[in-house]
Amino acid sequence: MGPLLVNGLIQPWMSVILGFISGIFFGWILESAGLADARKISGVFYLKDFTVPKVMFTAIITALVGVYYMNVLGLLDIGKLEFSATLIWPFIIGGIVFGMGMVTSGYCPGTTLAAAATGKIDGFMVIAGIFVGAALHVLTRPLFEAYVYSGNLGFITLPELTGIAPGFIIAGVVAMALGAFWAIEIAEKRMNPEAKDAPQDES
Amino acid sequence: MQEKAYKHPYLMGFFLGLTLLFTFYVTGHGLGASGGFYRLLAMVVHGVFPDAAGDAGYLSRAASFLYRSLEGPSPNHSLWLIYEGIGVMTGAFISGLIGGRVKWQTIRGETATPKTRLLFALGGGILLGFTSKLTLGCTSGQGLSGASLLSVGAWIFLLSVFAGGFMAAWFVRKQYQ
Repeated sequence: MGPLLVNGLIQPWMSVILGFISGIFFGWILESAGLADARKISGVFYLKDFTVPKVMFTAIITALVGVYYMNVLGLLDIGKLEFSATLIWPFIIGGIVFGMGMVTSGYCPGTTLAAAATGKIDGFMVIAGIFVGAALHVLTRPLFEAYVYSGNLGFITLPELTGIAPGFIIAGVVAMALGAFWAIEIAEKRMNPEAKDAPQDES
Repeated sequence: MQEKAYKHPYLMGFFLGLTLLFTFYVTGHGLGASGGFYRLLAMVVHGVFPDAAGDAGYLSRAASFLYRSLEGPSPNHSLWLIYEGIGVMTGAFISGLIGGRVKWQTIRGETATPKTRLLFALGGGILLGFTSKLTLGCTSGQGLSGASLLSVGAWIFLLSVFAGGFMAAWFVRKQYQ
């Protein structure tokens, strides 16, 4: 029963190798979908390209439903899966600035690795920027350390917050994602009537 | 070599969901990227200044914050994200080779100069690096992985990211035009 590492069913060194394998899949998928190109990623913020929300929310609902059913079937203990605490103000302010960084750089920390690996010089610049930003964070951290944990709700999930059963929340998230995809498809047809269903390479 | 078209986004999203599910099943945590940058930085700084986190001085406090990212449940756990990052680069390179898309280039708009674009890339990267520790993860570790577990914070983070992206888009549009 999963998670294998937490339950001691595999050795820690094996998880490192599996991390490499997960990374290969991750990078392969990002590049294949076109997310190693800053124009495709930033395109969502100019309402020109919707690859980011399509890939991201399809992945979320797939994993969401998968985790839920694996838990129901006794294959995966959902209580042992790791996620971070919710820090309201750092997440809102940090998230907004992160989004600004995303449209400015054209990437996020994962996709910029895929960009650099396929020869994008702007991807290497973003990697350099991330290290500079991380170093700045560390060097200034003692100044705002006291405020970082403001609005700490702890490890809380949507079902716990709302008191609604997980099954209903999951059904709601899936329905909202499918509704959003439907709206995106209609908007894309209006914007570009002659485009075919298959995504076209712009470059 | 002729560049091939990208794969269908919904299909790629489905495969990414399966990859995330596999990662949860094996390790108990999701995919991540920004944590790897911090751990690599921590390893390098720790290698150069192993005793920096000794006292209550300003830099000492900063160093002890950085070195905390090396602790984790086990030394392997700390390495995990770095190996995953190397995997991401490997996988993207293979996919790029197959698709004929590996080449040296600076992605930019038709009228934008490479210099403009690279300055925006550096500046945006600094914002990403600074904030992803504030939000306890980036779009992968906090957004994708947390949202799949219905974490309240992950959804707050994702909504804020989209809000911030739309707010700044107009101001940085020149590089893409």
